[in-house]
Amino acid sequence: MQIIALKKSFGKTAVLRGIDLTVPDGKVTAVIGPSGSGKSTLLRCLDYLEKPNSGRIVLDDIVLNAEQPHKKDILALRRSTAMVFQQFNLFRGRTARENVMEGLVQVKRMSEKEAGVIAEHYLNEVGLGSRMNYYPRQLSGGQQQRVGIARALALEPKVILLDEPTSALDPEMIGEVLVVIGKQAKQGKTMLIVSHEMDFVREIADEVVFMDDGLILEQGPPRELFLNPVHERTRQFLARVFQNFDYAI
Amino acid sequence: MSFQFDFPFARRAFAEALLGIPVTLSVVLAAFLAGFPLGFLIARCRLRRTPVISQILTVYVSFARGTPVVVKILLFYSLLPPALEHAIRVLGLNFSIYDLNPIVYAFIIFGITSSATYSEIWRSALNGVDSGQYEAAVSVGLTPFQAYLEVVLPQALAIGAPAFCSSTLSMLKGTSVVFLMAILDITGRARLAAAMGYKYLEAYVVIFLVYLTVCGILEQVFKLLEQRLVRFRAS
Repeated sequence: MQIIALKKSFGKTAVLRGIDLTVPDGKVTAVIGPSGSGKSTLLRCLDYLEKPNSGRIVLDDIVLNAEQPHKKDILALRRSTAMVFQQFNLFRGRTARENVMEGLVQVKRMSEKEAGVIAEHYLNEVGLGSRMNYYPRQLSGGQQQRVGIARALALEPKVILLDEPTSALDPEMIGEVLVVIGKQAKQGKTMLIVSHEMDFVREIADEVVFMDDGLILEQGPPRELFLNPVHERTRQFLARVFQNFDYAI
Repeated sequence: MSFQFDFPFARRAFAEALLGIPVTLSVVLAAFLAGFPLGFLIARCRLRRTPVISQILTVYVSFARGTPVVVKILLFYSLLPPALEHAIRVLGLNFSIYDLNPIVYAFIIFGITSSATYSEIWRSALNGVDSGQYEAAVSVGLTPFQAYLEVVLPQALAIGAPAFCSSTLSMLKGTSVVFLMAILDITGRARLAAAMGYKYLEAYVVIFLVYLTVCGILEQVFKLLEQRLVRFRAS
């Protein structure tokens, strides 16, 4: 996936000021940066949940020109990507299995039976084999997010977009979700993930992108970016994130 | 002054009033069939802030909701036909507007009123569905239309069901004013019976009971529909 000169502003506020980024196949690319830097907006533009003002998004033979977006391209882009949301956004009133089946039945035109088999496979994959017939409200946050991941995986998208998948979770549930994501990363799924879990990013990402104020300031393998940041802003950000709190009570 | 409740008369008036039920229900049904989808479209346009159309619809809704049905009856039924009749004569058509069954005016008047009322319910119901639900649906690859049909609508219906029910019930009761257009609905039939026997009290007690029963039954129908939607309701 290639992002070329992508710009987005809300009213007069420029949120993305020209993003160029290549998301390599089979790799995990992580986007980090302070809040308000445009990370989530970038991800949402890639699924056309936000409308970028200019620039291009290229994914294999799909070329979405933000200035002249065609419905066909938007749909194709959405069907080649899958989003995992911060707030899970599971379909209300549908069981875990039905949540995963929805796209398979409606988009891939599978029969209920086929879709059910696939849904069960992916729910097992995320460790929710015993919760298939539960409604979202009967599941914990961590379990809901794992259903969200299963829903994305089942579509076999070219790129999985994860928008702060653990930010809305209680601390004790973050682990179970990260384990699931880590497992998929190791299987060679192409992922673009926005996360504040720096330890996790350092462990699973092949490439880390640091964004600040609507621009990519620097990028590189986690080792390099975390240990030898070039940019002053990156250094400040990492120092703040990694500072060891030393409390005396 | 002694007063005796005339039971035999009440029984006759009751039988008369029952004959008006299909008329009353047909007005409600016609208004529902027109107003429910129309209300949805109005709400959609207003929520999307479609330029011009949205403003026109805002005026339409406040006109339709802000005027009593009785006034609309006066406007449509008393003032419109002579004008239309004149127009027909000018055009040289061989047709009289006065041959038209007045129930058609009732359909139109209640259709307009209910489209405005339902549109406000639709608006709050559609607003009540978390935008993340639509986003998740399109990100899964559903077309915007599918996302609405499959994900947003069932949830909006679940949110709006109690309000749809109570507004339909109050419309049913409101249709009693169609007797002003000489339509023989429940009220019209009972009043006619009352006028012939000068027994208004009996007739109104009958009307009271008939509306209570019909509304009660309709309420149960809505309850059944609501139960089918309950799983889409927010926790």
